[in-house]
Amino acid sequence: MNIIIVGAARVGRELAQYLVSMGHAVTMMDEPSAELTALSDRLDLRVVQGDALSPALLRRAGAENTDLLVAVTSSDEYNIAVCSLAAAIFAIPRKIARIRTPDLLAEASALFNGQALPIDHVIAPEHITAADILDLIELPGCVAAAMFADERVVMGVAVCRRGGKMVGSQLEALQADGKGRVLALYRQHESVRAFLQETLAIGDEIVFCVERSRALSFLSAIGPLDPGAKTIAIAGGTHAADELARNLSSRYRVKLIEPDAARAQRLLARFDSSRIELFNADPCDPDFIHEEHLDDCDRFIAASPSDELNLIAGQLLKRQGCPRTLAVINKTTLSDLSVLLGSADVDLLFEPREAVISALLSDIYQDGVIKLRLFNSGRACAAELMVQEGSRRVLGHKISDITWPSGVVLGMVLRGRKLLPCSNELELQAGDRLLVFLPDQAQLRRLSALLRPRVSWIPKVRLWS
Amino acid sequence: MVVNLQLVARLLCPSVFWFGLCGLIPAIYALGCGENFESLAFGISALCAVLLAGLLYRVSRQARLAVTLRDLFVFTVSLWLSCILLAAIPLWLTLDDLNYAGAVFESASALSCTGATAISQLDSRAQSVLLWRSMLQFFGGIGFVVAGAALLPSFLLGGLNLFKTESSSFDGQAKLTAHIKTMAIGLLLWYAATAVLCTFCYILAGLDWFLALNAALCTVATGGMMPLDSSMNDLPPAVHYCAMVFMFLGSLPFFVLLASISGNYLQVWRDEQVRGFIKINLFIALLVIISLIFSNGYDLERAVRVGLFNTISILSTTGFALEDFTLWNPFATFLFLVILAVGGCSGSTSGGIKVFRLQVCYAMFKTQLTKALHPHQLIEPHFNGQPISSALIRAVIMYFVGYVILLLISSACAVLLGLSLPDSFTASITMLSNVGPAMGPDLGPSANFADLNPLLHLLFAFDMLAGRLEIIPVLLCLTPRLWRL
Repeated sequence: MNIIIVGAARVGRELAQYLVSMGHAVTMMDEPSAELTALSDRLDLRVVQGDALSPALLRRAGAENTDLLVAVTSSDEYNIAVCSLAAAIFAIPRKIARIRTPDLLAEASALFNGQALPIDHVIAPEHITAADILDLIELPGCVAAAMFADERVVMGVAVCRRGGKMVGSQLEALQADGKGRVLALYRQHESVRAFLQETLAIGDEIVFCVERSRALSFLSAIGPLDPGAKTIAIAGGTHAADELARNLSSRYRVKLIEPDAARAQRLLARFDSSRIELFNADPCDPDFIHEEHLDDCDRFIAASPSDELNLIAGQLLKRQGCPRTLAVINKTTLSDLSVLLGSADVDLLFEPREAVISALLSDIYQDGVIKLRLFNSGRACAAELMVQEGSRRVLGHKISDITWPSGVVLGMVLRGRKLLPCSNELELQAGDRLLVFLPDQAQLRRLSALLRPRVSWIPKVRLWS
Repeated sequence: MVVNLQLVARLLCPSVFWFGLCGLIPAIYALGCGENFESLAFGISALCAVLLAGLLYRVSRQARLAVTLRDLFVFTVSLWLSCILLAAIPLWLTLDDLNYAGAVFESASALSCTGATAISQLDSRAQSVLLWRSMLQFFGGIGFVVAGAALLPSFLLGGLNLFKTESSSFDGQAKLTAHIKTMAIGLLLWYAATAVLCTFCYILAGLDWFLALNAALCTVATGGMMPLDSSMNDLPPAVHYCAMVFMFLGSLPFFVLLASISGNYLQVWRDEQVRGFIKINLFIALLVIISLIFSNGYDLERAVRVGLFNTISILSTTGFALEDFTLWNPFATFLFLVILAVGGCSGSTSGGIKVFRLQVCYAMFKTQLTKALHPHQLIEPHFNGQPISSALIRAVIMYFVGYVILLLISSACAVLLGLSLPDSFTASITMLSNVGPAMGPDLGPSANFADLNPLLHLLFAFDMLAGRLEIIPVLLCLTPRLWRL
């Protein structure tokens, strides 16, 4: 697929890296910078430097035969304009734009339906971050999680902690009731083969797939459940924090701490009617923590723009006795710190990067991939795939008879409204939605090829694009 | 080990394997001609290459895939080195008056498209050997990295970094397509198409097909190793005109040509480097033609043909011999000495310093002159309509310094090994620029390099390799810093 990415900021660069590794022909456009030049030296992609709002430059980037345009600059207006231009002049079939203004997003269904503005998918990293944190708050012990099969199934990574009911027993016992499945086991960040006979030990990372209604009972086997929460404190300063506060305020008492006075004033006008308690203070200030009894809050989420501040605030609150703290980390190098942190420190370092890239990739992927989520710093992924009519290598065969790409672990099958665990005897039907985990995300291409009909026996060789 | 040698071996393995299999083409041709001994020699050398590839495969099975810049430099240099050494084996086996150093010189000369030969009495040699020399020039002209990227399925690691180690002409702006592979295939198709067209032209001009094929392979590669002792001397004038056209095409930047072909037709004329190259060609040729007419009394057709042919031949770093230009007049000799190091455009098959480096230097010179008069004027050197980045200026200066250092060392070694001063100096220039003929008393355009000391052969082979890879990668591999942390 020929893809143009406009905007070489963090999201754009990360996305380009994944798309290139999947074998797409990627062209990157942005204002000239040394980083951009270095990018084409490192990755197999083309770089066009300059203003993407110029048709001549878009033409030079090969817009005439491009299948997909992704506009991920930090400015909403620019993204919308680029998508409109691409649709009007070059008739690019699919356009994805990054939108962050909350007002625009609130009217998304009227604006971005393809008629008003020619944008097929909207990506809002802040909303995705907020939604993911929301999920993680409800799933104790989870490091990362995503909803599949119309929000009915949770697939995620959970860390085994002291107090889990099944610690010390075999992993096989976890899936004895047939409702939840263990898909992979990482011990000291190394994948363990034939893990079902292994004994569950503290510190193990377990990739699981479970019905949402039974997620809590499944997770209670791995670690202790948190006591119910009433008050949640959020260290804010970003769109994601605002969005999170708004979503949480319907269920919890929310304290939003905004360090910037001017921003706090604007928020006050917006949150006028809601029940959010807004503070203008430094979340690391001990006097303020003492004054507002932040250490007595049930949850603390540090979602300010600075990674370092998030880490320190989370650490501080945890030391002072807050039962569960979460810090949002944007730089990958910092998130590797979680290896170094001990049990007395911040509970969870949350990387929005994986979630955002996963959402983008879910929109970009077409070949029967309904949704995907990257795990394990982007090396592994969980995906929901449609078994298509006419895929003769799969239909009518028992699961144990099919040659799956190496490493693929099957979770569950959604057939109509029924969820079935993938046993060896199950036969797949057209229209089934398959939930799988792939330790190596590069295998996804082969898996999706397996699940759709082969068009021709002649191998496709493209010499010139 | 700082350099990931296992990874280098893993990258080398497929290239060496396919290069070895290419050696079977002359083997089959030799069988067809009834040259059984030569066929056996080529078969043995192909077997050597395949065995080496197998050895590399065994060594590299557990390579870590993390690649750094220094691995790529080591890879490119070792790829060229191993191909030169492998290609020398059949030459050494078949030609009994050639020692292995001479064979290495010959294969280095062919692969780097220099065109100097260490084989005397070419007319009486086996045809398969001549074919092998032409094939080597054809491979070397486009470069192994480009050829490998186009032909091998899983050769690439990352982006343009690998290409930059073979030729400086690859930068982000020159990339026409999103995938490097498509661009490499485009380059290769253009290259092969010109070779086919050139063969037809030579056949039309009156050569027999074998000679036409060989001549075409060394013309488009700007190699200049004709399979004849007399080089271009006794051939009909139509062949000379044809050779001029294709030598010229071979020294134009391929990226710009490809961009022109794929829709942007006028880009070739707008490109500053192409214009500069044409201007230099016409200017030098005009001076040579005038000197030929007035001082040697040539008639107009002969003066134009011979003068233009030799100018293009030297500037495109082909090095075909048509008459001996050192015997015409001192002024013409001086002109050829000046343009010996210039070379063609970057991004072509030609060697030398390249026109764009001179243009960058000239642009800087012009800017500095203005600055001397108007110290407060804001002015930047421009090339191709864009300001020249300081990184490019640094790269050009680095190249020049490397060139001069290697030139001095190489001529000093040559003098120590018993060559006369003019011979050693001009031979070093011609080897570093991949031109072919030197201009001294013993190594003129009509002489060849057959009777040299083996050590001199190895020295010049090294010079040619360094010149082909644009100095820096080879120098880097010789510095201890590359191998230390």
